Amino acid sequence: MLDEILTVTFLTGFLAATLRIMTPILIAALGEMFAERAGVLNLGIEGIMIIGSFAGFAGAYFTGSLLLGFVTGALAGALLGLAMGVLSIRLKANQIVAGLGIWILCQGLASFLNRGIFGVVSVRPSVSILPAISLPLLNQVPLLGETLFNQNIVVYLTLLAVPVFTFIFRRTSWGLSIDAVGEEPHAADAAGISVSRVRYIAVTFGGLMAGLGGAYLSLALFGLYTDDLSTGLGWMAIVVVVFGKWRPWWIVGGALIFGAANALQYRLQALDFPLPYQFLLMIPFIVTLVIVVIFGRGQKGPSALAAPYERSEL
Amino acid sequence: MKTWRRLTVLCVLAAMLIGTGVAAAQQDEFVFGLVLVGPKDDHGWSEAHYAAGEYVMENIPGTRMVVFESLNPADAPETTLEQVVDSMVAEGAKLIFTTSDAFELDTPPVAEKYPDVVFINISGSNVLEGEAPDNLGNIMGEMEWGKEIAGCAAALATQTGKIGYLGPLINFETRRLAASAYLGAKYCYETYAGKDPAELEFTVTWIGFWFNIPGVTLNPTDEVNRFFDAGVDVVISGIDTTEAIVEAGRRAEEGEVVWAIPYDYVGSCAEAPEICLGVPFFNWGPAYIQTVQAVMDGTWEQSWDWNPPDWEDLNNPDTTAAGYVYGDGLTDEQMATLDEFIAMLAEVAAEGNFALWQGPLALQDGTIIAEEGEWVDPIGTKEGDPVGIWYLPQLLEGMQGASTSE
Repeated sequence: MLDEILTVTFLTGFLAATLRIMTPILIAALGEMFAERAGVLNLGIEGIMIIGSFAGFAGAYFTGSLLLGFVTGALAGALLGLAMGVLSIRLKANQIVAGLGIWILCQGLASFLNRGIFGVVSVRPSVSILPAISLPLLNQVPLLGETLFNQNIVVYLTLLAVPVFTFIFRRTSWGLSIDAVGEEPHAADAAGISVSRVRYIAVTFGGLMAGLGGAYLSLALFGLYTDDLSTGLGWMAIVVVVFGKWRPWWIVGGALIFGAANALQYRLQALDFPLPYQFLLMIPFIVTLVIVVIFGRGQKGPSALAAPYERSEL
Repeated sequence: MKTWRRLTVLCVLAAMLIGTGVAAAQQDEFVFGLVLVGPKDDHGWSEAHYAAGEYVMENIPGTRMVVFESLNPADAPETTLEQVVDSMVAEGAKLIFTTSDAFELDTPPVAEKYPDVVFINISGSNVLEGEAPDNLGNIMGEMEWGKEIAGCAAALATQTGKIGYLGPLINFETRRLAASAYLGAKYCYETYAGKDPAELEFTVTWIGFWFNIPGVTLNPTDEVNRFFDAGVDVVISGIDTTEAIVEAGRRAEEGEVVWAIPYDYVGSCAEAPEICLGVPFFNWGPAYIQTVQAVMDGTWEQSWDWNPPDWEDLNNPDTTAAGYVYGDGLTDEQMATLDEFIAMLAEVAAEGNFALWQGPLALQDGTIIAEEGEWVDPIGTKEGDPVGIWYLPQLLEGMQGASTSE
C-alpha cells in the first residue's frame, strides 16, 4: 500500500482533491471572518451554504448560465446574511441562537424549495460543471503544475481574494472600521463610525461569501443539487476561522489542513484501506479536533464578538 | 467570548455528525432491489437474475443488493409486490428490478407510488405500450436466438424425430420462444440432418406457471416422463426450473437414449452434463450494470430494451444479453454443425433480421403471417396487426400443442 501512496499520480491527485475540497470552506470562512471581526458570530453558515448551493443550482439551471448561477447563490446568501444582521444587530438577539435558527430554517427551506421547484424525480436535473482553466506556462511546472494550475476560475479568484482581504484589513480604513466595531464598538461609535452599518455590511458580505461557497458545491463540484451537499462544511468554516486567528492566510492554512485530511481519506477508501469506511470518514474531523484542542488554547477573538452593541446612555 | 475552544469543538462535532452521517448513509452505498418470482438458487430464471445482481456488486463498488425470493402465489400467497417494494424502499433502494412477467401488472402502480425510485420490469411491455409511468423501464434479452439454437441442437440429436417442449404458462413471450425453438429444429432437421421436416414432431406441453406449484400447475416431472414415454427423446425446457434435465438424466442412467436442454441459467447443464445438449441462457449482468450506473449517475431514461446477443462472442459474460453454451451431450460433429448454424444466425442478425422468421410462415390456425421470402415484423402489435414476433398470437403451423389457455 505504501508504494501505491508514494506515486506521482497519487500525489497529484491528492493535491488536486485537496484544493477542490478546501475551496468552498475557504470561501465561506473568509466571509465569516468579516462578520466575526465586525463582532457578529454567524453560526448559520452551514444553512446559508445549503441555500447558496440550491439557489446557485436553480439559477444556473433556469438561465443556462453558470455565472448567473453563482450570482443567484451569492445574492441568496447575502439576503440570509442580512437576515442574520437584522436578528443580531437590530433585534439584538442572542447570536448563537439566531445562527442556529438560520441554519435550521435554511435546511428546511432548501429541501422544500427543491421539491417545490424540481419535484420528486427519478432523473435529477443537472448542469455541466464549471470547467477547469489551465494556466499557460505555469501548468508546465513538473509535478505540481498540472493540478495546481488546472483549476476552475473560482479557485483562482478565491486564492486571489486572500491577499486582497489581507490588504483591506491592514491598509484601508474599511478594514480598520470593521476591526474597530468588533473590538471597541463604543470607541468606534465615538469616532463617528456607524457600528450598525459596518456590522450590517460585514455580516451581509459574510452571507454572500457563504452563498458563493454553497454555489461552488452545486456548480463547480457536483453539477446537481441534493439536500445534503454541504455535509458540515459550513461548520468547518467556522472552525477554520477560529483556528486561523481571524487572519486570511492562517485561514487558508486551516482550510488546507481540513481539505488535505479529507482528500487523504477519500484516497484511502479507494485503496481499500483495512479500516471500515465510517472511520475513514471521521479522519478529517478528528484531525481538526486534535489541532483545535492543541492550538486552540488561549485564542483571543474580537473582544465584542457575539455581543450586541448598546449605545451607553450618558 | 472566552469559550473559543468549546465553541470550535462543538462546531467540529456538528460537522462530523453531518459529514459522516450523510456520507455513511448515502455516499458509499447504492441500494438496488431484486424481486424474484422463484428461489435465488433455482438453477434457472431467478438464479440468472440473482447472478446478475452479484455481478453488479462485484463490478460497481459501493452497490448493495436487497433480494426478495419466491414472490408467487404458492410460496408467498399473502405477500404483495407493494409490500415487498415498501420494505426495499425503506432500506434505501433507489432501483428495483421486478424480474418476472408475473409482476408486469403490479409494477406500474408501485412505480407511481414511488416516483423517485426507478423500476425495471423484466420481460414486460408496459413501456412499449406507452402505459408506463416515467420511472419504469422494461428489459428483455433476445432469447429467440438461443431457443433457435436449442431447437437446432435437439433436431441434430433426435433419433425418433420427436421433440418435446416443456412450456410454462401461455403468453406472447412463451409462444414466441417455443416457436423459435421449433423454427430452429425445423431448419436443422432439414438442412443438416437431411430429413423431411414434415416428419418432425414438435410438441408443446404447458404446465400453467413458471415452475411447479403442486395442485395448481401440471407436475413438470410427470410431463417430462410423459414425453419420454411417448417416444420423445429430446425435451427442451421453457420453464424456470430444472425438471427436464433432472428427469432426462435419471432415465439416461437407466440406459435410455434421451437428452434435455434446460433454460435460463448458464450453469444448469450441471444437473446432468452428459445428456445435456447445451443451454440457452440469459446474461442479465451487462443490462443490470448499465441500468445501475445510469441511475447512480442520474442519467437513466425510460426505455424498452430487447437486448441482442453479442454475435462477436456469444457467451461473453460482459457483453452478451443471451447466449448458448454447449453441453457434454453434443458430439464434436454436432458442435461443428451448431457452429455453422450460429454463424448463419449471426449473418442474418447483422442484416437486421430475426433469422428463420421468414416466410412462408403461418400460424397454427393457418393464418399466413409472412409470404415466401418476407420477414415477420419483429414486434407487431398486441392486437396482431401486424402479427409480430414479440406479440406472437399463436404457435406456428407445424407445432403441436395449445396456442391459448382456453
